[in-house]
Amino acid sequence: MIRTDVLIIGGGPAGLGAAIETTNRGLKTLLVEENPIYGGQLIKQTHKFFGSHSHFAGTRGIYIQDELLKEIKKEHFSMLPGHSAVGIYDDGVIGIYDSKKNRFKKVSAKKVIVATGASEKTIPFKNNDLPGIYGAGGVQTLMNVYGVLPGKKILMIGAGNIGLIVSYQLIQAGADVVGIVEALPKAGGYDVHLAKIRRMGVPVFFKHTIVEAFGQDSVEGALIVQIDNKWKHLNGTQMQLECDTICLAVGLTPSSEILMQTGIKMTFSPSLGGYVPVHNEFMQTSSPDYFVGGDAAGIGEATSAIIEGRLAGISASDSLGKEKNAEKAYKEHVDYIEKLRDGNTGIKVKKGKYELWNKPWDTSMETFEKKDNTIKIPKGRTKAYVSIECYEDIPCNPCEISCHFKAITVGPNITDLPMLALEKCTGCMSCLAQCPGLAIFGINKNLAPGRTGITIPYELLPLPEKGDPVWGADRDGKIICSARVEAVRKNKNKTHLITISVENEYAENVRHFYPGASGDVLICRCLDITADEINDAIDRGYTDFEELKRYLRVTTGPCQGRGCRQLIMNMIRAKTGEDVSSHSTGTPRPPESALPFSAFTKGGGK
Amino acid sequence: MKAAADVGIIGGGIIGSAIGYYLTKMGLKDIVLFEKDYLTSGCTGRCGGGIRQQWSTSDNVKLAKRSVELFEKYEDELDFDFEYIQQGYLILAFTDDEVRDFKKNVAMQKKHGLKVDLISPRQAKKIVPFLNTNDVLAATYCPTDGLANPFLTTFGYAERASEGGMTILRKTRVNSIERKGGSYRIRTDKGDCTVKYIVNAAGPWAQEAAKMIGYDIPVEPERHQILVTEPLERMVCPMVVDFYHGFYGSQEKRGGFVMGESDPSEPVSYKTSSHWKFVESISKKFTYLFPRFSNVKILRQWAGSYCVSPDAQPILGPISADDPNYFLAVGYSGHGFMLAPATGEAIAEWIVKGKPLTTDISHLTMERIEKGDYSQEYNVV
Ligand SMILES: Cc1cc2nc3c(=O)[nH]c(=O)nc-3n(C[C@H](O)[C@H](O)[C@H](O)COP(=O)(O)OP(=O)(O)OC[C@H]3O[C@@H](n4cnc5c(N)ncnc54)[C@H](O)[C@@H]3O)c2cc1C
Ligand SMILES: Cc1cc2nc3c(=O)[nH]c(=O)nc-3n(C[C@H](O)[C@H](O)[C@H](O)COP(=O)(O)OP(=O)(O)OC[C@H]3O[C@@H](n4cnc5c(N)ncnc54)[C@H](O)[C@@H]3O)c2cc1C
Repeated sequence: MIRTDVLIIGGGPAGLGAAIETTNRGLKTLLVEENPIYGGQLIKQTHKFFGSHSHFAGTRGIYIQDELLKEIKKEHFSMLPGHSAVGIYDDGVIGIYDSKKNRFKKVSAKKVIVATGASEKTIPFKNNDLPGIYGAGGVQTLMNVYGVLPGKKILMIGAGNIGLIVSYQLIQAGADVVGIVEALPKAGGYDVHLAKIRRMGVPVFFKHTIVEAFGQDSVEGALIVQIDNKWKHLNGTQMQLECDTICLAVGLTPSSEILMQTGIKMTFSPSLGGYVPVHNEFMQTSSPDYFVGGDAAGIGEATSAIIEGRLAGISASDSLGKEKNAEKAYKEHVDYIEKLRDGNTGIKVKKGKYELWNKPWDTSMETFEKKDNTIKIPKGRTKAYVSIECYEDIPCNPCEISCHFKAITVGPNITDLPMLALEKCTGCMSCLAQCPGLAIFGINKNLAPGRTGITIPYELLPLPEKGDPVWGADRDGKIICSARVEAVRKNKNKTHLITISVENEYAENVRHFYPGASGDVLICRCLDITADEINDAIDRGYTDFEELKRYLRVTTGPCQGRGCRQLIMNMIRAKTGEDVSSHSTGTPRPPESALPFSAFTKGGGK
Repeated sequence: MKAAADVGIIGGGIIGSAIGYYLTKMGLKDIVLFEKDYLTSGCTGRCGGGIRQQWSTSDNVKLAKRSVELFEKYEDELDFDFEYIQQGYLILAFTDDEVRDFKKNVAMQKKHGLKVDLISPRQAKKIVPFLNTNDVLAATYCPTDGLANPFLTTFGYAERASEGGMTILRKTRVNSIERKGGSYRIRTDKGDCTVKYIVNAAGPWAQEAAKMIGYDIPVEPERHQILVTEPLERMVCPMVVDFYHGFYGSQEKRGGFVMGESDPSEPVSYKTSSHWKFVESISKKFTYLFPRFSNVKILRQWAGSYCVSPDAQPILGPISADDPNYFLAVGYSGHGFMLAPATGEAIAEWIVKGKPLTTDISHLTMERIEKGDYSQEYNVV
C-alpha cells in the first residue's frame, strides 16, 4: 500500500496545477498519469495558447507543462507515469494499474484530486468503423507525439476550436485537408482559428454533416449532405469528397467516471459538456475527500484548467489544515477565472458553473459590449503599421504585452478587443509573432512604388527565401495575385515573419501566400491547368497571353477566364518582367454561361 | 531589329509559319517573320481545324492530299502533339444535282489516288449512328480526312523554325515596303529591315500588304462564325458537311463539337464580332442533323475572317513578273489550315530551289486570275 497525503489522478494542466499548490504547502503528493508522458492535452498542442500573458498565453501548449513542473516542490512530490487509476473502493483505497509491469497497486490517500480531463464524442454515420476514421485527439497524438501522419487527404468533421486547430496542424504536418464539415451555420471555434485555415484554402462546409464513409478496406471518401436547422438532410445536396482519413472533432465530454464509483453527486450539464461531479467554487465535490478540476469538471480551456487545478489543490490543503489564509488564496484565482470566462466562448462554461453553484444568472450577462477596434488609415501614412484582425472577445493579451511602444491596449478585461493607437505604432511588428491567433499583419505601403509589403506570421515549413516568387492568397485562400518574398524574419518561438510584396490594389486582401515553386496549384480550374504547366509554357516562349491561351487552352473553359485571367497576366509579368498590361487577354464570347441548343431552336421563325 | 535578311514573311498565321518552317528545313536561316500582333492572331486563331481532301477542283485535291501526307508525319517531325485525328469527312447530298456533282467529284478524286466513296444514306448512318439521314440522298466519305489543332500546329512550325534560325517579331506591323535595287526595304513600327524576298502571308489583310508595293489583288475579307460545345465523351464522329443547308461540324480531340455555317448574305468586311442570328440558325441545323444532341450545351461562339479569292482557291507564287521576289500565299478562302503543309512546302521550294518541286501549283498563280482562266471550287462552307 502506497501512502500519501494527496493523490492526484491525471497529469494534465489541472493535475499539475493542483500539485503546485499541495507540494508548496508541504503535503506529500502523488500524481498518477495513465500516459507515459505528462501534460495531458498539452503534449499535443503545438500552437500558442490564448490567455493572459501572466498565465502562459502566447506559449505553445507543449512547453506549458514544463513551466508548471518547475513550480512544483520536488521534495514533496512523486509521479507515477504509465499508471491509471482504475477503482476507488468502499474503504477509500484507490487501485492503480501499472501498465508496463502489468501490476495492480493500492494507494491510500487522505485527499483525492480528480483531474482526468475529457473524452472525445463521436457521431454515428454509415461505415464509421472503417479504418482511417479517427478522433481528433487520436490524430493529434499520432501526429504531434509520435510523428506519424495518419493520412494525406483529411476530411475534418467539426469546426470547433479542436477541429480548426487540428486541421491547421495537419496542414503544418504536410497533409491536405480537403474540407471541414460543420453542422452549424458558423464555426464554434474562434474566428482567428477559422481565418487561419481559411486563408490556407481549406473549404468549410457549414450546415453540412457526414452521412457515410466509403472505401474497400479503408476510407477512400465520404458522402456529405446539407442539413436544415432541424438537421434534416436536404435532397439533392449530397456531395462526395475524396479523402483517406476522416477526423472527428465533434466535441469533448468530461470524463470523471472514476469519481462516480465513490457515489458522489453527479449532474448533467449541457453547458459543461455532459455529466460532471457537483462541485463548489473551490472545486470540492459533494464529498470532503474528493476534489475535481479541469475538463473533468466541465469542458473549458487550459488556462482555466490550471486555475481550477490550483483551486482544488488549495481546497485539499485547506481541508488538511495546511492553508492559513485560504480566503485570500481562493480569491485571486476565483477572480481571474471569472474574467477568463467573460467572452462569448467562456460564458457558456460560466453559466454552467453558476447553475451548479445556484448563483443567480442574468441573461444580460451573456451579451458583451464589443468595442469597435477597426481603424482608419490616413491616406498620407507612409510608415509601416499593423493590421489587427481580431474581432472576437477572446481572453488573450500577448499583443498588448509585446508592444514596446504601448500602441496596443487590451486593458484589465482580457476579453476586451485589442485597440491600436496608430500614432504610436512604429511598424516594428513585434506583436505579429506573439499573437496566438496569428491575427496581426504588417502593412507597409511604402515598400516600393506601386507595391505594398505585407508581413504575415507564418508557421509552415519550408520557409521561403528572400526573392522567391510566391502566390498571394486572400482570406479564403484563393490565389489572387503573384507576389515576391521581400524578407524572412525567423523567430525563436517559431512564428516566423514573412514579408511579401504585392501590387497596391491587392494589399487589403492578401493575407497568405503559397510557395511559387510547388506548382501543382490549379490556376485554370475549369481545365485543370497548373501553375507549373503555365510557367513551363512561359519559359518555352509563350509570353503573349493570347498565344498562351491557345497553347494551353487556359481561360477557354466555361468560366472564360473570370477566375484566372488576372493571375496568368501576373505570372507572365513576374517571369518576363515585361509590362503586359496592354496585351490583349482574349475576348469573352457569348454565351456568358453555357446554354443548350434547344434554347435557341424554340424561338419563332424558320 | 535586324537590318537585313534573306526573306521577310508578313504574317504569323499558319501560312507564314509553315513557309518559315519549310524555308529553315531547306537550309535557309536568315528569315524574319513580322507579325503585327501575336502568332495566330488572325484567321488561324479562329479556325475550326478541319482537314479535308474531298474538293471539286484537282488543284485543291492535290494540295490537300499532299498536306495529309505531311500532317501524318508531323507529330514526330515537329515534336508536337497538335491533336491530329483522322476520323474522316462525311459529306451529305440532299438534291439530285448534288448527287450528280458528288459522283463527278469522287471520280476525279479517285483519279488522284484518294480513298473516297459515294455511299448510301444507310451506310452513312452506320458511320454516324446518331445522324438524321431521313432526307439524305447519298453521301461521300473519306476516312483519311480529319481534324487537328491549328494553334498548336502554328506553334509547332514556329518553334522549329525559330530553332532553325528564323526570327519572329511579334507586335511588329509592316507599314510600308520600298523597292531598293533588287531588294525590298520593309518598314515597320519598330524599325526597318531590307530583304531579298518577301512573302505576303497576311491572311485577311493580304490586300493591304500587296498595296504596299502598288498591286491590287482580288482577295477580300469575309466573316465566318463558329461555335464549340461543352466537351462530350469521344464518339469518333467524322466531320459532317452539308453544303445544302450550309453546315459543317465535328468533334475535336478534347471532346467539344466544333461547328460553323456559311452565310451567303455575309458582306465583305473585317468584322469578327458574333451575331445571335448565327447561333439561332446553326442550332436549327445542328439539331435537325443531330436530333439527340439538342440539350448539349454551347460553350462559346466566335468569328474570324476568311481571305476569299475569286475561285475559292489560294493565290500562290510571285505577285507579278516585275516583282518576281514578292511571293503571295493568300486567298485560302476558308481552307488555309489544311493546305498549309503543301503550300508552305511549295513556296519554300520556289524560293530556295527556284521552282515548286513536290506539288504542281502552276495553275494557282496570279496569272489565272488576270486571264480569267480558272475553275471554280464549289465545295466550300
Ligand atoms: C486540439 C485542442 C486544442 C486546444 N487548444 C487550447 C488553447 O489554445 N488554449 C487553451 O487554453 N486550451 C486549449 N485546449 C483545451 C485544453 O487542452 C484542455 O482544456 C486542458 O488540457 C484540460 O486540462 P485537464 O488537465 O483538465 O485535462 P487533460 O489535459 O485532458 O489531462 C487529463 C489527463 O488525465 C489523464 N487521465 C485520465 N484518466 C486517468 C486515469 N483514470 N488515471 C490516470 N490518468 C488519467 C489523461 O491521460 C490526461 O493526461 C485545447 C484542447 C484540444 C483538444
Ligand atoms: C470560323 C473559321 C473556321 C475555319 N475552319 C477551317 C477549317 O476547318 N479548315 C481549314 O483548313 N481552314 C479553316 N479556316 C480558314 C483558315 O483558318 C485560314 O485559311 C488560315 O488560318 C489562313 O491562315 P493565314 O496564315 O493565311 O492567315 P492569318 O491566320 O490571318 O494570318 C495572317 C497574319 O498576318 C498578320 N498581318 C497582317 N497584316 C500584317 C502586317 N501588315 N504586318 C504584320 N503582320 C500582319 C495578321 O496579324 C495575322 O496574324 C477557318 C476560318 C474561320 C474564320
